[in-house]
Amino acid sequence: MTLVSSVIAALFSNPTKSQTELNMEQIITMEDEDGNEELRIINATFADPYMLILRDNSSAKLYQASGDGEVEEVEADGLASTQWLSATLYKSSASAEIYTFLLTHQGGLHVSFDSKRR
Amino acid sequence: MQCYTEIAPPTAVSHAVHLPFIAPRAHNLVVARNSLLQIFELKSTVTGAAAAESASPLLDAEAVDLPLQRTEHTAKLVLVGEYPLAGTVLSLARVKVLNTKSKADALLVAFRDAKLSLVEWDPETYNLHTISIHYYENPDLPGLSPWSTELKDTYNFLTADPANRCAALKFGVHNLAILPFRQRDVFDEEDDFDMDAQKDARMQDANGTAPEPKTPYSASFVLPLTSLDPTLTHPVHLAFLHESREPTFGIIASSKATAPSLLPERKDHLTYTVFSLDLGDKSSTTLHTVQGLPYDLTSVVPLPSPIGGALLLGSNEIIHVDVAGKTTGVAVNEFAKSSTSFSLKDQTDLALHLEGCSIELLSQDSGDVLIILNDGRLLTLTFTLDGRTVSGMTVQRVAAEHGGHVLKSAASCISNLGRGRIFVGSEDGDSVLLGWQAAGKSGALGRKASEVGTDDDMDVEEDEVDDLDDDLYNDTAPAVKKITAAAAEPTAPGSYTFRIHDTLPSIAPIKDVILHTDAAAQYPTTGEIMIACGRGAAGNITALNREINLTNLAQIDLPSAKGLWAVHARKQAPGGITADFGEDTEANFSVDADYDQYLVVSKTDEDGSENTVVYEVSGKELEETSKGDFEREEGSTLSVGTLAKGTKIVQIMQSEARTYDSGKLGDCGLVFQPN
Repeated sequence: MTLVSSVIAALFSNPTKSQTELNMEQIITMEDEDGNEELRIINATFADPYMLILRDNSSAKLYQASGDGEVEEVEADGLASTQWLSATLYKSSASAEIYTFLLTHQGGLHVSFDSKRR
Repeated sequence: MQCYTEIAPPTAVSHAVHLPFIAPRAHNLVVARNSLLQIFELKSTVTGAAAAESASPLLDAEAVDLPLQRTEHTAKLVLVGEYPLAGTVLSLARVKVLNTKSKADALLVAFRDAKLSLVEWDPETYNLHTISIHYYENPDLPGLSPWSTELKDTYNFLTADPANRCAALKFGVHNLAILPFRQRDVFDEEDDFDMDAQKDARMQDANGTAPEPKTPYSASFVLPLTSLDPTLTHPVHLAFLHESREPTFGIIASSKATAPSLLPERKDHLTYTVFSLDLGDKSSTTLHTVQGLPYDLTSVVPLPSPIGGALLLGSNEIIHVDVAGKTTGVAVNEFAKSSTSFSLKDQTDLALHLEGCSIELLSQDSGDVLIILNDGRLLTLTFTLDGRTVSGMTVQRVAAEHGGHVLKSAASCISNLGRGRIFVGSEDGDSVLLGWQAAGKSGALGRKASEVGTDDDMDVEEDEVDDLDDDLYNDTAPAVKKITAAAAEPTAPGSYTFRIHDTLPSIAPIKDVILHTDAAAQYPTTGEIMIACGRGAAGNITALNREINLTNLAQIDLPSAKGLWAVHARKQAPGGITADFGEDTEANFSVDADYDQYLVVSKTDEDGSENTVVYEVSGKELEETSKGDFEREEGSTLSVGTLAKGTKIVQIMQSEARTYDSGKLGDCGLVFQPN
């Protein structure tokens, strides 16, 4: 029902060209495992629908934009249990898979990809 | 000795052949640019004004059916790989050999020094792989005398049997090197026959020696043409014919040299003989001979069914010889009458110069043939059939409004790619992918106009549909009758329309060069190297530059800017339509998506305070905007990105990430704080 009402509201409200309003939707704060301090973000990479954020305590968190308009954290054990020097997401136009490339302090390179995507 | 650097690769196309090379169902075009081999793949795109107006591909595809039917399918050549060759290519031929790595056809490349190279595609290394090399430069060949012409000066060429039983290289004055290919049934016979013998062989090999892998070809042999017939001392051209049980080739030859100056004495002494080759015995049988052919015949062009036989091409006339040896000819200029007494139909009012022309089968159904003259004009040759035999031929010009003048230079090679596309390569100008359509029919192209889908799959489906139709008739006889009934009358002039689909640019031949490196180049009209290239109507002046030149559209000062991000924000699809998230970003950037453009600048002032400014991009202007709740004052922005197919803008700040909507219609965003 809410879906129908929002569609109807959409049809009758705005003029032909819709402007981006830049209204704030979410604030995602960076906290460490205990939930205490605020961490600084070193680096963030985007690969629709994922976002990978690397914090200054060498931990990385993966977020996903779900279909209903919210950005939620994705549980990934391997990601949470290791210290990372650098992290990035990669998506090529040749395939539908999204890869993560993660570098540890010792120089090891970890590559993983999202196998559930079609 | 390499004392030079090549700054531009060869661009003149000398040979082209169409075959499935990369994969069994691929449509590849292999183009030889004298010493460079390029492999192309054919892709189909939709062009036309209606396509741009259609809605986003996310929405229901059926709704956009109607406008798309006004668009046309344009084929594009996509380069798969290019490989420099050691040697100059003389001919290319498509051959089907057993057990290729890609399971597709192989390519036989003939080089100028009487060398043949059998090449296949290796999908693992994504590269060419040479199966074998054969060379025939042998000073001990019988018939070679000190005064005979050297190998590099004779007319050498390659021809392959359409049924893939063998290939023949004509080299030297009158030598023929024949390379037979193994056929699948030969393998099977050997397997069934001696099961015991094979087992014994394997037992013996158990000592450690592996059995030798069989090559896809049998031993090749050289046959002097005079051993087939002593009068074939001066061969002109030969080609293997279609639809024959044994490898059969037709050869134009004579026992005396041809000379236009000796016409009063030597007139009509060329003969066309069809030989059937027995590869096992290395012997041949004469099937039929036609005598008294005009002196200016230059080549044999074999035709597949339903017409069959071969076309003999000369400078003043075209003659068709069918499988039984019956001839029909047409004279296309006034010189035909004075140079030959062969009976020809009179079309001398056309006044054509057939020197340097190229011929290719246009349409398999009607048997029509396309002729490209040496100035690029197009002609069609159509047959009048009497039952199943050819009773006449008509040459027709293609009018300018049907695309008869789209080509600007002579063709060096021509290859029919099937489904209404023909590749015309040229050494005098740009090479072109020509598309043709028979008037009155929507054709296969129109039928598929309503399917948006992936174009590669569409091509494969069309192929499968055609194959299914053919399989409905187990014997081919009724199908052939249908075709010949339709083609009994010659095709009316103006029934074919030609259009250029794609071009391979060429800077050949280069006539003059001027180096202009000192003065600054005024892009795009001048460049570092200016060359005069092309021949005839395709002549042009080309500017070559080493680097890409950028044109400055606008310049805006953003003082103390530390970081800059461009944001493509899209309005979210209206609720109710489920869109797959995470599809490739190409869809986001397609023309039909509705954009708002923002430039987010992170600034650090001299006093150390950091803030963020958002500009709205409109054309070439930047306008600072204070729209929305974008965090501006509290801190610097580390990065800005988009999620959820571009409908969400994420601002990464020093210790938190904030998401913003981009115009969810009517609904203002919720503020949600995760813990």
